Amino acid sequence: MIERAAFVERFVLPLVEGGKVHVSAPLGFSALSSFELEDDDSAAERALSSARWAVARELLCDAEPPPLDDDSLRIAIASHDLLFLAHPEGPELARGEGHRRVAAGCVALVAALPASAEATELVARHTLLSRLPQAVRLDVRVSFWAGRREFRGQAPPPRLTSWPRLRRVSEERSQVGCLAEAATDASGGADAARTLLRASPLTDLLNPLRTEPPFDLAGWEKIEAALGSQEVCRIVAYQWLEQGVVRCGGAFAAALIARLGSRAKGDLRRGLALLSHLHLCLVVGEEQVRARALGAAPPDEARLADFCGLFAALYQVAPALCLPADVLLDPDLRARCDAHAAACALACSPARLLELRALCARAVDARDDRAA
Amino acid sequence: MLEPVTLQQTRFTAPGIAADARGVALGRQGAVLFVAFDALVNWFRVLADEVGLDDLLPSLAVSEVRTPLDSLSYLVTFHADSSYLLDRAARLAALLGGASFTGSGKHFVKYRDRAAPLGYDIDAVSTEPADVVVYGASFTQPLRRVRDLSFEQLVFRLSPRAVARRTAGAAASAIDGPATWLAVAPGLARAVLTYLSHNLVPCAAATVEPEGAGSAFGERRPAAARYLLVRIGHLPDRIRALFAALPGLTVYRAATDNVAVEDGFAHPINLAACKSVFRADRFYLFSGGARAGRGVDVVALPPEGGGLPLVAGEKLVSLDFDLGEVTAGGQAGAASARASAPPSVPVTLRLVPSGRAPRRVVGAWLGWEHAASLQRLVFALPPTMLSGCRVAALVDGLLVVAPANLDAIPLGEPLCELAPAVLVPLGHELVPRLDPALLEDRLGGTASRVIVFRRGASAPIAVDEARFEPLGRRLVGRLEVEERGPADRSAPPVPERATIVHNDRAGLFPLWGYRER
Repeated sequence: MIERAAFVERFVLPLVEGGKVHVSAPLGFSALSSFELEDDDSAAERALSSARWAVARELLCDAEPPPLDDDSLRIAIASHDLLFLAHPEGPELARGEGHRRVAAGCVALVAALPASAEATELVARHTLLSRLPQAVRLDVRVSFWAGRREFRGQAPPPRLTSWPRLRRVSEERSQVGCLAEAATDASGGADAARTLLRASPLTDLLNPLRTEPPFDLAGWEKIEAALGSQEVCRIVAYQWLEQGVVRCGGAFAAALIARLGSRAKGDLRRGLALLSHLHLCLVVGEEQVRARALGAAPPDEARLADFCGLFAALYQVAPALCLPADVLLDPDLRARCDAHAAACALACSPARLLELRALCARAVDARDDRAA
Repeated sequence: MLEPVTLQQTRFTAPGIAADARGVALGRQGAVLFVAFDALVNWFRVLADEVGLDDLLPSLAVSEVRTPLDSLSYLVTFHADSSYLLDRAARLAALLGGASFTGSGKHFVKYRDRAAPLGYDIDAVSTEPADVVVYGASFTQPLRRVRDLSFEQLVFRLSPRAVARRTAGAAASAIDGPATWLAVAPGLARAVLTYLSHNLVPCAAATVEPEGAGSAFGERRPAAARYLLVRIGHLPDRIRALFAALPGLTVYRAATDNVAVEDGFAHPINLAACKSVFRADRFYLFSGGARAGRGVDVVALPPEGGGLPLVAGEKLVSLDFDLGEVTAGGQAGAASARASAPPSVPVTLRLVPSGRAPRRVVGAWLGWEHAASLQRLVFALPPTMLSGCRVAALVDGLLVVAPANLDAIPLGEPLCELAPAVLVPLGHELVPRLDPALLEDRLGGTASRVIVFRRGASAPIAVDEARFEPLGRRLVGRLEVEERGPADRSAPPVPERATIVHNDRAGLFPLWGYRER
């Protein structure tokens, strides 16, 4: 069993600050139990604390160095075991019960993490997973005169690549997104990846443009709890503005509309308010910023239409949800919001706008019914 | 006695007379006779306004003549190209009391008038001894030449006359009017150049030494009497009035490229109509008023040509700020032996409160005590409001600049743009007021840096463009706002490193001891 300090140094630290992330045998609850008993003042942990603090300071104004507590260890171990699912030295695991055990272990590790509205706690979880969506594995396929071998995340041995002319050796290198690969694993990996992301709602929200696992609001309860924090809402909205409001907002609007149209329970008012906040950020920005944001041709124009149309529909159905009290007190700002909503209504087809109005009305009424 | 010429008359008694294409009796020369010198000058004045004298001057001769009764008259003869030229000369002469004649050599017959539209012929040629014989309607007058007057002499001896100030001012105030020249005594050169620079009046200057012993200021000086000659495209009326009353400084208005007449005065003859009188390698200054008696200042130009070796006035005004660049020397290499570039005049730039309307705030200077507030502000504001803002972390504080305006950050000292990339505190300006391009030039250029003038600082701060980073959480999150060290407290950017998964050996039994619950 690997020791805590070595695990931090070889896996967690590079996962946070970048570098080579070493994955070996799965850890599970047995490692969690042993890590909790080990010394937590190693040099690697101090470096990890510093690296996580650097990530947190870009998100929170008064961030403190996050501790490597039980929740953090669960997330770190679950990340490790998730990446192990694609390890090349466990071929029997891929076909057998062992694979499902490891995936179930991942789910069990992080599913127990409670929903939180504390920005500090959510940011602390995110500091561990901030780079996970971008983590890649370098695969090498070596072809030679007698056959071919494939190496996933490992360097091919020199004996295979020596005498390249004589043995007609060719190397084919490719890059694989680890999270996306795990999310497409039907034998448990997909569930583990989704559960890991739901355990860190901030990581989930800050990566709306990922392809796998697709951005959705299936774990809405934890996201809703996270959006109860103003700081988290600001982090998310401003990050989306920096990444491209049309693309991120379009992805969020699509997920929101899908959730509104489903039979799943949940109060989506915070999601609708977050979408409105995005639009209000555009309203208070410079004219050219708004024009640049909305004028950028997105790859999917339907998403832009939905992003604008959902705001216009909500503005008509529940203006109080779109406009904070201080905006209502400022007549100039109110007029600009009116103009922006009118422009958004024009960006969407009338039929789609009617449909979105119905969805918004149902979401707001359902909430009112529950309140009554 | 004179006889009117008839149509198609071919034979004339007067020698050298023939009918031109229109049938007008015309000799090779025209002559105009005046009995008063004033009438002669006035004739030149009016004629110069109507026709260019440059065509007439090669054949023009002005003579003092006397009649047998010893009365003095002035005779002007010139080559008569056509009867049209002589028509004009005769009309102006009649206006001024003169008589016009045509002929050649010695005999001149009265030119045509209303009574004889084709001119006159004589019945007999006079044989009286004389240099010139003029035949009038009622007289035949032999004339004796006393002396010849050259036209050049006439031009240089005539004194400029005062003109109505309003007329002179109106002409001078026109933006596209003639250039203005200033003759500045050496002791006033620095003050005048600085004053012009303060008031953003573009000028060029050269030190000149007039030929002869006189100077533009009426003083008798040794040959080395030099003064500063300043050329100004457009001199505002208020400054013109100020300079006109300033001893040691004379204002001139350009008449031609190399001739200038003192402001408020006009030469009796239109000098622009007789440019050939003036040598191209000389510069002439005509003074009026009390200084009119000492003649004309003639300045020799460099023999290689190109006019006066003028140096741009703003380059002669030195600024005290030193940003590390080596200032160019003030010597003009092309200066001639008699005209050279004047030395640079040092001027100190000062930051003073301004009464002008406030400009747009495009920057802010934040001390490190404001860093925590800036952090909170940046984390609270949407990035759309901070779009384009950049910040540089310096030893003394943080410099925030924005492309258009910086309304979103109400912290620190607001800065406005005095010239491109030159920032001063809001409500302040630099004196002397310099043209933005000149200021940029004097500061050593602002192509890749921002220059900030701070209140109470002895010198401006130059911040390299490379030190600026976009203002956002990424940078502000790196600021160490709690520490109070003197060094740069902005942590360097963390290089982005890819996260690459490497699969280590998992062992023969990787699930040995594994618990999923």
